[in-house]
Amino acid sequence: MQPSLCPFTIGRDGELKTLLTFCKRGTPILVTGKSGLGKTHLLRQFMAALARQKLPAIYLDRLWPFKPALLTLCSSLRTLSAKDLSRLKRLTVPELTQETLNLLKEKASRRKPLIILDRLEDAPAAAGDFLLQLSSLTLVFGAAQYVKRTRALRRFFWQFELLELMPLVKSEALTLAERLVNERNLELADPAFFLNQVVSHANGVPLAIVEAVNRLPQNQPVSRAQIRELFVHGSGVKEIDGTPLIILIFCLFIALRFIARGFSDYQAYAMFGALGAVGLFIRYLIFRQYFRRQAR
Amino acid sequence: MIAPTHVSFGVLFAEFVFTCLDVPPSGAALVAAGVGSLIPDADTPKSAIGHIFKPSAAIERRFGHRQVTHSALFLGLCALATLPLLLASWKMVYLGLLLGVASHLMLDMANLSGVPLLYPYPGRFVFPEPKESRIEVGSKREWVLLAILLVLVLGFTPVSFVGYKSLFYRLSQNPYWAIEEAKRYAPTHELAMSVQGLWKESQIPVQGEFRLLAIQEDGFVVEQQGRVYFLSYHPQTAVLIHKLKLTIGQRVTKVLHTHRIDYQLFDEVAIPPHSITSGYLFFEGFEGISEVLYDFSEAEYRTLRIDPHIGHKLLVSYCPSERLAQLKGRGLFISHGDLSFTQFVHVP
Repeated sequence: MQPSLCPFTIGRDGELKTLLTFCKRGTPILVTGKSGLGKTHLLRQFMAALARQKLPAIYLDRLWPFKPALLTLCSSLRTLSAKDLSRLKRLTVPELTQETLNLLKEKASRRKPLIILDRLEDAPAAAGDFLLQLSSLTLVFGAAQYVKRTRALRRFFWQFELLELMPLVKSEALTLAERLVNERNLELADPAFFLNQVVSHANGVPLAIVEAVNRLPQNQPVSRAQIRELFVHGSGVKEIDGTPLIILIFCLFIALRFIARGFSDYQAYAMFGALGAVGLFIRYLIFRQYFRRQAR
Repeated sequence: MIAPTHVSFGVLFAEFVFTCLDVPPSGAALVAAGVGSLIPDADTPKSAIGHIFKPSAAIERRFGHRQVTHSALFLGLCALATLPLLLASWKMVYLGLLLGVASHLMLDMANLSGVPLLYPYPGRFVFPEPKESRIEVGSKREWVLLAILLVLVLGFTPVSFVGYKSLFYRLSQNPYWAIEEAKRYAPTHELAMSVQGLWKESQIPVQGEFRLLAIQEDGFVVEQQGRVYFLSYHPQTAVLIHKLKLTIGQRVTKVLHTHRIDYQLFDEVAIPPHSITSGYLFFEGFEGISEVLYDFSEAEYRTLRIDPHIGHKLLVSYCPSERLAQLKGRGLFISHGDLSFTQFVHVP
């Protein structure tokens, strides 16, 4: 398991408590939320909490590519010798799937293991049957950006209770940023300006806050200019395509053209007709961008 | 975007909106649009307006750059804060200022970071959506945009001042557009028009200049050498018009006199010089004026005619003072009449 970007957790106590409650109750739960909201971090904190309670759990950070994921799972279920590992590597995916299920059955006969599957949005359709059998043999906790509705996987996703992670509220985001600044011993020319910049750019996304702080130079004072040009992590940016607004304006021209016609204002009719034509050309340019991007 | 890009787009946007509304912009309104286009950047001391606007550092410290001042909320606040301009009847300046602010938000949508139009909602509006198509501040792409905007501003400013209706007339010079053009100047100026076309009856090319007496819904009542004609794009026109060029003459004030006549000889009626007359007269003495009434050619507009239903009623419409004066000295007795004289008085 990779080390977490942030050694502590802010504003996720309720979610952590929910995970522990569901674990005790034996109900599968899926943590959902957009990229950067801290699903992986939450699962790792949850693992740490389980370890403190001496409850074993297996963490699998991804299911794609499928074969290496199965090999990781096998090695987590049983200590494999080099010979076993090379034998498993030579197996086909269906054979390896069967082998993994056998190991799981063996383990489940003693105690139902807890398996935590991260990045379930990447789960391949080929893993559908395996995941269904896995969830019948074990208690599965997962994390995904969204619930997959593909035919092969939807039955697997149906079993979960959903726990949606929300962006941090402003006070939590400020606390996180402050704490990160203190941890890294940053010398800021204007701490209040910095905190406001971080919070406004990150939009409550913890990863964006962590990345913004981590990009600052640690052993020299951080000037106002550096704060102004602060790194904006993509996960904190929420973009809305303004194209419909622009298209709407040109639609308005077309509507005005007919209104002018209705009022027998032929000059306005001619002008808004001409503007509608300009709109058609701009629409062509917009869609050319989209098609080019799709082609790439 | 840099300040010159914002100013040129702000001016262009204001001109465009004023043109669409068919309102000629004032210079002050365009200056206001230019200033308005810089206002949202007051949230950073690095900007052109931020250098002179001292609280910009505090705004940046509190909200950050391209946050609250780049939103619809700020546009609404600007509209409220500048309401005194509207109350002081500086409507165009008020509108120009707000159009400038709105143009800034629109243009910044093309920035890499977009604008939070619905602030405090964090979503940032961008256009176009692919990031690689957007414009980085101070990049080569922005300079190209600035050059295009400057060319457009130079080309569009005269259009916005004359208005799109006038533009259509100037491009086409047909009677339909000319009516709209004439409507703009007729209340304050003496208008003349040179016409290219054919007399409808004789099919002889039309030559010379006509003086405009009145504008109707579908044509003009014009006068040439004391004769009045109706020019239109409709079939009842006197001239089949190919091109029609309006000439704006001296400034005039139109003075309206109304005159009621009861049991009076027409000779006693004072006709203001350089006027046109409309109205009606109940008269006696048809024989004396029949010569004048039948002195109209086929192409002419009947400024004097007998009411087809009431034989002793003379209808007068757009009749020049010179022709009306021809009714004098013919023993015309008016039992009752109502005339309105529109006099063109030159403004010195």
